[in-house]
Amino acid sequence: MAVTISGLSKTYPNGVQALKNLTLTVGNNMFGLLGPNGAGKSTLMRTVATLQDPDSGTVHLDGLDVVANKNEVRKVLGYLPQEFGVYPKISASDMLHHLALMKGITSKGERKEMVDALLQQTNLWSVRKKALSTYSGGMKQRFGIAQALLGNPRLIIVDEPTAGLDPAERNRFLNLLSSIGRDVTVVLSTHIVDDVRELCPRMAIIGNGELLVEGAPSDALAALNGKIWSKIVSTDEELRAMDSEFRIVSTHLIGGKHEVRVFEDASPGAGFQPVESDLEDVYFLNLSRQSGSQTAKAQA
Amino acid sequence: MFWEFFTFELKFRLKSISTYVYFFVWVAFNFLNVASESFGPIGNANGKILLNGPYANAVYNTGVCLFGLIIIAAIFGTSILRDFQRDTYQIIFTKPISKFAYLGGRWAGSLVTTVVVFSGSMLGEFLGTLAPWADHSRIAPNHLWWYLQPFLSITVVQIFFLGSLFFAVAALTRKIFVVYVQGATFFMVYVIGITVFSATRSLERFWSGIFDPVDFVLLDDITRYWTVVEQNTLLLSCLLTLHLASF
Repeated sequence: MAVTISGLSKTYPNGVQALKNLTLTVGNNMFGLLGPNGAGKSTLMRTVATLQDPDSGTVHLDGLDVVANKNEVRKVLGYLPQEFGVYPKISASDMLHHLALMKGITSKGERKEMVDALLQQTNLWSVRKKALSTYSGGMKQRFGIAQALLGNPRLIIVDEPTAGLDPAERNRFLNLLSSIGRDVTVVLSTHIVDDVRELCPRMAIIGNGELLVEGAPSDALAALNGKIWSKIVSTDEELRAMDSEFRIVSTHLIGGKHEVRVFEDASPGAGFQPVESDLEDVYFLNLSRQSGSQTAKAQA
Repeated sequence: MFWEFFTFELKFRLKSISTYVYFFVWVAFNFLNVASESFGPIGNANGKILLNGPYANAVYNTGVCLFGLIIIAAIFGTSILRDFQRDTYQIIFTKPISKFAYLGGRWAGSLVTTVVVFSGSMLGEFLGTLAPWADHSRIAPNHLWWYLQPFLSITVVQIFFLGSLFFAVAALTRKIFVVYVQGATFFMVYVIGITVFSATRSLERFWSGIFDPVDFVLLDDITRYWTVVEQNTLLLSCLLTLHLASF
């Protein structure tokens, strides 16, 4: 199932321009949508998930206009919101049955089979009769994906699903996601670069409501091959000096010292080691290019 | 799907403590009305009117409706705002549900819940008649219809209309605050209004009865010159029902 987004714009009443003429095509399989907090990811996800209308632009699902045919879209959609609550005192099993009926699964036998299978798949079987309000963050998130999978959706949207999960829960969640990603379209929106690196054959990076990169992570990495250099510096003064001299991609703290990663075609000088590019370089480089060009525009 | 929303609403209310608290409030309210001579309007008044007679029941039910405004608002208002308060709307509204099933199911579930909760007043009154210390010379043998007729013709009608009003306000404003303020304002304005009106000792009884949304004045208009025997045997006709419905 292909999602075609063209010319999407959205400005909120408080003046925040969340999406600026965004055009993007998402094909089958797992698609990673990467961007910092406030980049417009959630706005984009909510628009595709029929929760809000854009100011201008269109979203099509295999030729079906999403804004005009919300109920048709909802039949094939599974959506895991970034944050969601639960009713008090309602168990996972009861809530899934309730939501499955909304999804139009009216046959009792079929519904029970599906709910039971999902509870097994998401490893919630042993706690299915416990109230959702007593669930931990990871369990709640797995319930979230279980409800998104009700009714065999063909488009699944998960909005920042791993934020706030501990490493073990995050791994479990990503494994779960990759097991469903094969024959349906999954859009994974996240600010965690590793989520995309581990799961997604295709991705896009958005920043400030604009599309910065679209393509396969491997292509984006290949473009940076041999152009990322690393140097360890120990003081803040050195760091500041480098900042004015080089195109710094990112800095990390390693054992109290700064590892500085620089993007240059040739070796920037003594002390720099060539390192393998990773997806985080792609991410930071594109974000800093965007803010750089905006500063340039503002100065012009 | 309507049925699912309806039954889920009932299930949800059954698990919620507030439902039982409201029920108990009405049990206690009418228990005291009958069992205590200094609590209710009838117990305090003319010593020959039956504490569980038709007139008494009409007065009790009218009182229940007035004090019950907030409870009606709480049940109807929260039923439709739950998905916003609990932040579940993103999950519910991305399912292919129909407006009719969602709104209708929640509304019908609230209506049934509220009626059941308010029926606690009948239970309380019945229990009151069993209290050994109550004034049994003023308690007649219990007639089921004496309980049901005023409940159905006054309380259920009020629940239906006020509940629908609160429900609509909640659905349109999406703010529980507005619903409670509306309920409280209605209550305050009415109580102030009726206090001011009775303080004037006005002999005008017609328009004040017509424009009384809770029907205290109208009830008084109708029964003002009834004899004790009449107050103890005659059930009020559906006039009150029609009048409440006209609001």
